[in-house]
Amino acid sequence: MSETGVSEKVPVEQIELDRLNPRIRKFLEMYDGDPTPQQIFLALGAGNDEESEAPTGPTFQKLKQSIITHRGIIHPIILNRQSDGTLVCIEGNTRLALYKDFLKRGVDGEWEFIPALVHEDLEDTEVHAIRLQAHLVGPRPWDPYSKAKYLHELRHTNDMPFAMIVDFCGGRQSEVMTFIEAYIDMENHYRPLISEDGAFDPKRFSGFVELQKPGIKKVIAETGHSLTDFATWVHEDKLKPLNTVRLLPRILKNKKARDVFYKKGARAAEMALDKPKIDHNLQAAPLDQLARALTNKLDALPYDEFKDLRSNPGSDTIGALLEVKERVTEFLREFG
Amino acid sequence: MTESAQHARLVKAILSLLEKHFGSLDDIMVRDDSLRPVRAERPPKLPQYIPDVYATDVPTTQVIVGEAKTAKDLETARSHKQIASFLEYLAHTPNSLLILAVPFDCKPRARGLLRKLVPAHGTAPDTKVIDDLDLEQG
Repeated sequence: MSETGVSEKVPVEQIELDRLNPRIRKFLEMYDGDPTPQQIFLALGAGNDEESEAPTGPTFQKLKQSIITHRGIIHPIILNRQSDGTLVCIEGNTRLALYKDFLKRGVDGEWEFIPALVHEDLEDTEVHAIRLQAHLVGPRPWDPYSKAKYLHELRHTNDMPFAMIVDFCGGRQSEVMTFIEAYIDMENHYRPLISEDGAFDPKRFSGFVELQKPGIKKVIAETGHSLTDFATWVHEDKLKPLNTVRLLPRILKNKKARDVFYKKGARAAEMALDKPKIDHNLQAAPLDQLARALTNKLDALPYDEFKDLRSNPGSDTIGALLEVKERVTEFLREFG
Repeated sequence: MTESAQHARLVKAILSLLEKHFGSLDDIMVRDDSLRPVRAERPPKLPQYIPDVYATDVPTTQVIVGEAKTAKDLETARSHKQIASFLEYLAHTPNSLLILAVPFDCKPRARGLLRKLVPAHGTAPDTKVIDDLDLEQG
């Protein structure tokens, strides 16, 4: 057996999806009997044209769009030809499912054959090793700053059409735009503040991503500040953690909070902000009841209210929910 | 022509103008609220209302907001508030432009409305009134 498998272009119709794949298995455990190919397909999220809000939704849609734009896959899938001759996909089931779907639906492109590394009759342990390496270790994604730098170079230096960049990334154009704009702001305003080469901290990029959110730049300008001031606050750790950037509109508009912010930063300034009054009964309610009430409230949220919140991510409600999320996550770390 | 068909045609006229303005829609970020959007992304809320079209070049040097109004729509109080809100938003956005697409015979009325709704603060943005006949003239 070759350790890396043999590189081939294999007819997709000859390959079976892997029923032992963890995502497929999780789905199939809910059903009795022998799963149909359609059920396996559904488990992988293939065939779904809508942008899903499920955790795997956007990633799946991005992959789908990227394969269509690229007219194929970059990394070959991994197959095991079993002793009875059956070809089973042990890594790359979603990509295979998409090829099968494109072929069935007549999507423009060549989807009959898929690039694959074919192994011969692998032992179970070898199959597990491949799955573990692919899904639990996986390739290391680029950090956000490096991604943004690359996107900016494609657009600015290579002059690649914006629409093409978005299609290759498979994401939303506003995300790509935010990354490019954040990169430009960081380079123009943060980098000049850094005297030593090594002191440039790419991890602070997320602060510049937050800066692109609606209303932040406007309030910075309206209160007589500049983006260099913003970069200085980032550099001097006044905005630490970096998600406190979203508090800036409230802080900068409030004289007392602003003065605290200049001296001690956003977290301290937050304490000086006027806190909304909380109903006495709510304040006195036990933690479990409050948590359940919040869950119920979110579950029963009318669609109009949901749409309003979605189109207004800078609202106080979203701000309060993000704060709860952070505090709860931090709190629950204590419990393993 | 139905109201919605006319509205769709007016949105198309805005997109057509954007294409002429920027050379190619492929080079810009364009978010439109039409039946078959250029890319699957709705325009953002600015800040109370969602326009029909929102576009910027990449990186941003210009922001363009496009709104389509049928003759009936153009006269509603909600539309006036909406247009005023876009003008107010763009008054604080350097090098911005509001495109108002209306039926040909409503153009004088639309121009008058834009003059009346000048924002109280900031720099009044550039405005342009177009109609769906611009589509036929290419």
